[in-house]
Amino acid sequence: MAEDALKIKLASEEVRLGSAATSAVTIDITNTAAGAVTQVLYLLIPESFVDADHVSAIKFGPATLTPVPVADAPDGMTKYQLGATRGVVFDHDQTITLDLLNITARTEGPQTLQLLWGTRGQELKSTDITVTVLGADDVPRIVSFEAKNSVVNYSGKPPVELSWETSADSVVSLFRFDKQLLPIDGKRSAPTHERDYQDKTYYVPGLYPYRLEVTAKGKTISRTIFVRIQEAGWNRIDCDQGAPMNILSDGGNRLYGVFNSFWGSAIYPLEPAAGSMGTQNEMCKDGNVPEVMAKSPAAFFKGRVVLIGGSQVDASVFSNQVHAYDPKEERWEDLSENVPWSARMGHAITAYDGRLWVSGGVDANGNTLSDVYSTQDGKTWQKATDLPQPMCFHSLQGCAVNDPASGQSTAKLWLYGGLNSPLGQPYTSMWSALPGQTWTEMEFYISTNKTSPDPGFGAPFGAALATTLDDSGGTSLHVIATYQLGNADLSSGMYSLQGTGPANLVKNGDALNSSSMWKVQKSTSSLALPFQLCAATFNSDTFNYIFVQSILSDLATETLTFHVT
Amino acid sequence: MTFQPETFSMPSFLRFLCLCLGLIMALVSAPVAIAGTVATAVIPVAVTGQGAPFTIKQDTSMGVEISFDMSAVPPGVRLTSAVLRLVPTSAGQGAQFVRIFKKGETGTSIGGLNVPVTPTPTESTGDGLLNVLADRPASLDLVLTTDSVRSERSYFSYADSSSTNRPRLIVTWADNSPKMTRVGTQLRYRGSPDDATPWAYNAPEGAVLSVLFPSGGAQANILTGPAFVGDLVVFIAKGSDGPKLYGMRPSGSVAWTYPSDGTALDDITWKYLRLDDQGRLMAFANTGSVTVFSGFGPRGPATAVTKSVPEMNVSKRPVISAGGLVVFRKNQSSDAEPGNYIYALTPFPNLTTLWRSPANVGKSTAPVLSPRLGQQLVYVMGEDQSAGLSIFDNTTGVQPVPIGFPAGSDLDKFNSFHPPLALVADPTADTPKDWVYLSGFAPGNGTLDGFTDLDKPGSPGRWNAAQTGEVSRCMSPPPADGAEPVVYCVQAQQFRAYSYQSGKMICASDDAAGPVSATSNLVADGNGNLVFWQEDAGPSGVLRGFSPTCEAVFMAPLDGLPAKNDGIEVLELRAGPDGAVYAYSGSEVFALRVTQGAAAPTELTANTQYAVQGDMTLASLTAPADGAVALHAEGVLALGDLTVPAGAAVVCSGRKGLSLGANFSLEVGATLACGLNTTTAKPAP
Repeated sequence: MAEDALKIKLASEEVRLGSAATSAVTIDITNTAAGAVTQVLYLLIPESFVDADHVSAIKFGPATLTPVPVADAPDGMTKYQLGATRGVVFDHDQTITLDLLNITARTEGPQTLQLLWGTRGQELKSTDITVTVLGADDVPRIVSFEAKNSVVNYSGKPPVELSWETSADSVVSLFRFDKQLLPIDGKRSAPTHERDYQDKTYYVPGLYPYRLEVTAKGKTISRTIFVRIQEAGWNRIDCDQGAPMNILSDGGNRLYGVFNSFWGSAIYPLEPAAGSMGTQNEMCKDGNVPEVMAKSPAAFFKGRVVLIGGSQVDASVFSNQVHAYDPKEERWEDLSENVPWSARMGHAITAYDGRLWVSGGVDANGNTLSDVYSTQDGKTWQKATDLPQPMCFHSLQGCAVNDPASGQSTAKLWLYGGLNSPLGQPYTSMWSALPGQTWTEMEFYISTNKTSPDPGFGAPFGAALATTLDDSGGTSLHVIATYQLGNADLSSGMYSLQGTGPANLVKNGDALNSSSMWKVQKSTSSLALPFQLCAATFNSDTFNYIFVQSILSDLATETLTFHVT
Repeated sequence: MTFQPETFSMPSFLRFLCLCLGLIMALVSAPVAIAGTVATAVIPVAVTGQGAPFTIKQDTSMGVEISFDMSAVPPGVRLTSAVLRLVPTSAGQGAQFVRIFKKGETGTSIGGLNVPVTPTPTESTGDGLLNVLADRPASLDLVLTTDSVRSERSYFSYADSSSTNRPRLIVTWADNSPKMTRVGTQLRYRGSPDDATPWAYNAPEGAVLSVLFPSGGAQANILTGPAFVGDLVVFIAKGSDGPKLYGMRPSGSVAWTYPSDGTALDDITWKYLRLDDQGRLMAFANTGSVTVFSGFGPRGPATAVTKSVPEMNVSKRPVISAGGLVVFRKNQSSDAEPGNYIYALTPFPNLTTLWRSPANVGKSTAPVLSPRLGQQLVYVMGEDQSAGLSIFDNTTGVQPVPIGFPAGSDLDKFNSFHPPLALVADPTADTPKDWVYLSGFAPGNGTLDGFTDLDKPGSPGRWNAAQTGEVSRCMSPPPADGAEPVVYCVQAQQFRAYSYQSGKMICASDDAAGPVSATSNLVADGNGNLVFWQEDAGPSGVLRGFSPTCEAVFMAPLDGLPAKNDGIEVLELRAGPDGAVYAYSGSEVFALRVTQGAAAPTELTANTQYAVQGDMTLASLTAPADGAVALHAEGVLALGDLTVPAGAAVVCSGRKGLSLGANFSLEVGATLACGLNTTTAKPAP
């Protein structure tokens, strides 16, 4: 029952008639109260500014709202609710950004928006926000603002190369975050036309917003672009969407992420080839994940993001529901009917060989499971051969094995890690099987010393398997895991094992040869926590990415972790 | 008297015969049924470690054994959930996953506890415990183990000084009991609320007052207010033969006293009676004990069990949840003895402390239970501005939101508060929620505000605006099916009805009703009429009646009820099962009966009380076969050729006589209970 106190600030604006694509208004809403507050918020937009049919996107926090007006708007205004009816929880000092995007303004001149906010059930406060709609040719004007490469490799620390063109006789400033880069040396303005500005002053890899502010005739507008500085190996960037729960590859040019935030859980498209990584993009339309599936494992299966069963990490959330989201159709389908397997959590799933597989986990009564089921259509499930032992928190991945002699490729499922119960004893073995058939235990060889089946780092407390295409067109199977290092703390680091190819994995009793060796790589992501991992791969023209996320029940971080080669 | 196979006739010479017939008991289910879930909790009777904190760790071959006495869960109910709740003693090095096994069956676990690193109370998952309890074992013996590495954790046991920390098994069951029940000639709402009766008063026009006990000018000390067991009014009084539990018929005769063997109850500070949903009568005594009377028959209770409850020192009447949990506020009896805490006891037969409020709630109102069956909450309003509203989960004692006054209300400007009024906003919703009405008052001033979602973080929903003016304790009668509840209060010298969701005033009494005040709680009849005592009107106070549309329907001067200066701050009116309203003082138990005009009824409607201040002579009427009828006359009651068909139930009394016509008939399957009224009439002033 704390006092509410929101500070509302117009952070940037650029609204121009006939330029919907670049017209945007950004408003920062900050909680200045001593503690967290819950506030209901409404946005009132004058119909003279944008009518209800032409509001393209209202982005509040990580979510882009479907702009559906609510009732009780004053005459001449359209009213939108921001957040839930019960209100939005603002943590102490938290800022939530409200973006109005793709604005199709109707008339030139100043327009006053209103933000109504306050405690639910009480009289709301009103804050006016005045923006100015510029005419098509009015100054100030940003003709262009671009980065030569929106993704920059940190190695050698090359400059970020920016170019812009603005209206003449304007005062131009360039910022990275809130640091002013230009003008410098007492100059009044940066150039209004710049073809090759080079910023070398960044210090660490990350996602950098560059903002160009242009002032003329007493009016200031701004535009922001994002440049990602990444290095070979492990990277981590903040993401607006929330804490990643799943990163999925569609096998082509797209990644999809399931993120949890104060809004709940939703699916967002990711674009590793773009500087922003898509982290500034809006969520998939109607991509809100059913609440019970917020931390469920997901697989990209036959064109859809399929969420299966209970939580990956929370041994209090059990389910046997199946929900599928089609990014093209932009709709969900509940596939839970006739699911034969019991409600569970800590299970592993994968999409491979034309089937969707679910294996193991823990049921609500605490029993660790060993059953395996698969489906071809997402609705009808068939039981397969059980896992070699009851396990949970394990990793399951499909990867074909090539026989160098015959050139034949054989589909196989791979199984690694896992525990005998939540937080229990880790398994160290890797197993493989023809899909749906009996599992065979693999063995690791490190150098010439047989260390089977333990690769030598201890017990994996979280593991993920991922496949990548190598330059020669072959497939590599990667094992990414967190290990308990001796008696060190569990969160001491994340390591990856990179195999030279599944075909070279040796089975029990095989002769040892050099091609069976595994390359061991230490992660630079020392903050990764030892829990369930998920991994996905993405190959761009320039880089190969492996995304790996620690999925935590209550320590979720709003960052994306990825490996670049 | 000769019984025929289908009917019998009463010859005329049997006129003025006193009848006390309970010929055939007809158990009639109620017209309305609302499903819900009842929750209760029991704490273990034995745990490895004998009450000291116990440790669960990997490689403990035998695990931790924990046992529960399941006799507190009533037989015959369909259990819907069962969870084990443990509280870690401290933060751990790591989280822990605990498996629950039935003792002797360690192959398959029947539940899991996902205990975080923090010392957070944790409840088990899975349906295994429920399945094991399906056979309704007398006791439940469990074994707790873990495979979690690096996570040796210690948990509080049943002897911990903080009762909230004690492990417990929380069990729920489906309650499909009807909203209203008829047993013989008695009508009661589920839960036997004190302030509402299903009986509809026919054409209310006045009221009469009589003394139920003691009779004939005898002297007695009334030690507890009345409760209602079956068709009897039950209380503890001390006469010349010591304290006894009395069971009295509404007509004024003593059905039984307990003990009946010439001995007496212990001469201790008996305070309050409450009937639980299992038909047990709990007597709370401020000498640290609760006596439970059960097995009521024609000669009174078959058993009386006294349990020591050292914390029992109360000045507000405890409440009993549908699951049998007893909630009360302990008085601060001395500086050395802690008080002003809210306590909950496990159900009978254990009656051990289930939880205690973590903080002193100060001087406060009596606890009020959420009417929601699915989630039982306890609401307590601080009376001295030191606390505000406290909300507790009934099974755990957890406070879902901090104590305090809802932000923006004027409640913190007052020193006196009524107990919260809670009602279910939409009982048919998937997740019904409470509306809670909080009122603070001072002479000539007051505020009343309605809130919902008070038990959830964030800002609650609330009325559009608070209603101001000195306010009585409000009430909301059980609404008819499909109808919205209405909140009735006496406020700003008017009788008023408020919309339960918006607080908008629906109606108010007019000037003709004069200044209205309430010196008692408000009691509703089956038609939604409200009656209450107004002490400052008439020569010695009046019983007032208002219709649901705020029209004054009667104002009956009565003489003899205790005044405020008798030590009773506000007169407690309790609706009895026979349609009368009961009150008590330190020396008398009173019966108030709402009467109609002199005209006798020309037809009889189910579940309706017909009472007159003079004689009542019925024509050849037929009692409704689908309900009960109550007939009372302060003069002679002439039933005439009344026909009581199968399925009908008639209760009747006449103070000066009772007669039957020659063609009076009582069919097999009907119920009739009639007698002379021997209570001591109090003449109107």
